[in-house]
Amino acid sequence: MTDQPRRRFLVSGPARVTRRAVLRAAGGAIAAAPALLRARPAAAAAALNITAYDGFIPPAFKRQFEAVTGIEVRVRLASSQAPELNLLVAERAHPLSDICTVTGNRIHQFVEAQVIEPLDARRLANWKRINPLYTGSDWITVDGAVMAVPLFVGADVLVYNSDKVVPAPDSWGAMFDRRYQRRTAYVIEDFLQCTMLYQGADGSFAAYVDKPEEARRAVNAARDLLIKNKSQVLKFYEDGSVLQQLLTGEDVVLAQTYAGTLAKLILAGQPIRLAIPREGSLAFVYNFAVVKNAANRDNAYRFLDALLAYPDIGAALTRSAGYTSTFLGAEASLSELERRAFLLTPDQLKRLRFLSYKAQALSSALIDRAVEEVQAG
Amino acid sequence: MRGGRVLLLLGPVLWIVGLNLAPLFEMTRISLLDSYPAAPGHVARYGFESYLTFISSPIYRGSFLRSFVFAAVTTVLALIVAYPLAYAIALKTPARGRLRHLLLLVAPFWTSEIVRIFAIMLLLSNRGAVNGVLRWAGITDDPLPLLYNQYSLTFGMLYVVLLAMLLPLYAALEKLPRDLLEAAASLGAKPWTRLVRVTLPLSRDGVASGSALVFLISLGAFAVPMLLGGADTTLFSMTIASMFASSAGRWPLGAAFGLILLAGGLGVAGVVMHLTVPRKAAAA
Repeated sequence: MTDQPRRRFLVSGPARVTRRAVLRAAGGAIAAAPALLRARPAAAAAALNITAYDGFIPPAFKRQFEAVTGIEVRVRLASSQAPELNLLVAERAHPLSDICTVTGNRIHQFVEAQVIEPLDARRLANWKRINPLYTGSDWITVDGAVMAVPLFVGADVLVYNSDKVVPAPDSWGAMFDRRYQRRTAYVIEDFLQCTMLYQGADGSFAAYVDKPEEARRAVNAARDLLIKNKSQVLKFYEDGSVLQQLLTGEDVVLAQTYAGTLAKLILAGQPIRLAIPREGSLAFVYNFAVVKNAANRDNAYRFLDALLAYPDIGAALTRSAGYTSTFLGAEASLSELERRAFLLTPDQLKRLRFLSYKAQALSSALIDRAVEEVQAG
Repeated sequence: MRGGRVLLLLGPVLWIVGLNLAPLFEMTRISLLDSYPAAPGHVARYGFESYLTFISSPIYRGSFLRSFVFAAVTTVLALIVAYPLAYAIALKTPARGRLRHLLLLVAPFWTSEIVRIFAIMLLLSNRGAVNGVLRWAGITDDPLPLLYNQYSLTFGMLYVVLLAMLLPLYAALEKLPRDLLEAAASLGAKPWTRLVRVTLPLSRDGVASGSALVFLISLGAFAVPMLLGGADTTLFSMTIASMFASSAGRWPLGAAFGLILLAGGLGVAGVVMHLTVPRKAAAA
């Protein structure tokens, strides 16, 4: 009796496994493969495609938004602006994203590449919940049109292991200190601009808008200093998780990074401290923009408005991404320890210079080349 | 009959043209453009600027040459490590045990390359297992800098490519006629003489194909140098990748440099194959 179902299965299954049967099945599978492998269409009644950095969409918020609206949120991760822009340009004819991430200093580049469209802020009932310092800024305004929703303020910081680096550093010059030889790490592109500040040049490029030769000289001087001190560096990194690993393993004790990248280590009680050096540092604003010809434009606006609805969401964004939120009242929802880990103090904020969008094309061309030269040199 | 043959050839031809030649053709086209991805309204111009940049900029030649030296060193080390292993399995292990031994060696390669690289990082980091044992044994007080240098890079690469050397060597040694070795022994040849005069020459095709494979894989490696290399171990593949990641229209330069690396790699591999494989075997 117990064998009955099995016998029946065997009887109803293929009588014999023959070469012909296997070939037929394989042929069927190959024929069906395009349908199985075909990507989900970008346009769907209840879908939204977002290209964002890791942590920029808090999982709890995403789940709640999907449950309330029935819109499926699909997130494609980006790691930096240049590859993201390349991707959006390649998809320009048929965009696969509805919302993308863009930094304030890069917005003009995204507009010129025709990959984002002006934002209709009137469709966002919660627009007023963003700090007016950012909604009124010229970083998100191109030819009088608002282009994006500001989310976070990011800044380059000097990070150090407070047990190993004594006294606490207060200059970018600490990165060239022989005591820390092969114990430092940085993102070349960003540290090059910090090095410009260290050398007394304008790393934000604001001073070089109409002075390309002066900019070239400043970039070359910073490049030469980095190449001369290459033996000082253990690792050029690009991903924040790599730096976390380097600091946790104490392979590195001093590094340049973005404020917020290492918040998890600070919250975990590791001896990691951040400093904005006396020469100043560079800041930028992360934004969400609607992609030009987005297939799910209405869903994009619903998502952006929901994101701005409560200060708690701003706090959740800070927790998941590690950056200071631009939403009014967001910091009130953070604990004291979280504020220490995530937020910059007023004194630190005073030393920040925002990257100039006006010199973006010039700075990109000069910096990209210098980065290759530092890496290859 | 003829139709059947055409159908049979269609698959490989489509595969080679669609997946190998078409991307190469597109890469060649991009390498000749003045800017890519092009800004809206920009009319593309064709030229050889990207190739001339490589010739005129000494800064890129350092990482280019470093890549070739690195690939050559990895190939030689892989040969030194893999040959005794392949020899032991193919010639010193009973026939029924060979597959089991081979499977044991292949087993780690069932996991992803990235996972294996991260495992190496866990072993070699300052707080890793190797430094832990050294400190526990009192051999050193401070951790040894085992990661992010030329040694960790070469070790990691060797680990990743070992299989590509081992399998061709095993295949060559396994089909080596045993009676030739026995004849040499009966004529008084010592083990070393048998190895140098009989085994090595007869396994030359395995050495050549394994070396060519390992050399080409090492030359274009990206993940290993990215994760295990340091600031002074930049290889040409990383220089190329940085050009594709840049937003300043430097794809043509990356494409041209990629093709230069491909040509250089194939050239060296071709020369090695030509010098190692006996002419008769090559003709056969």
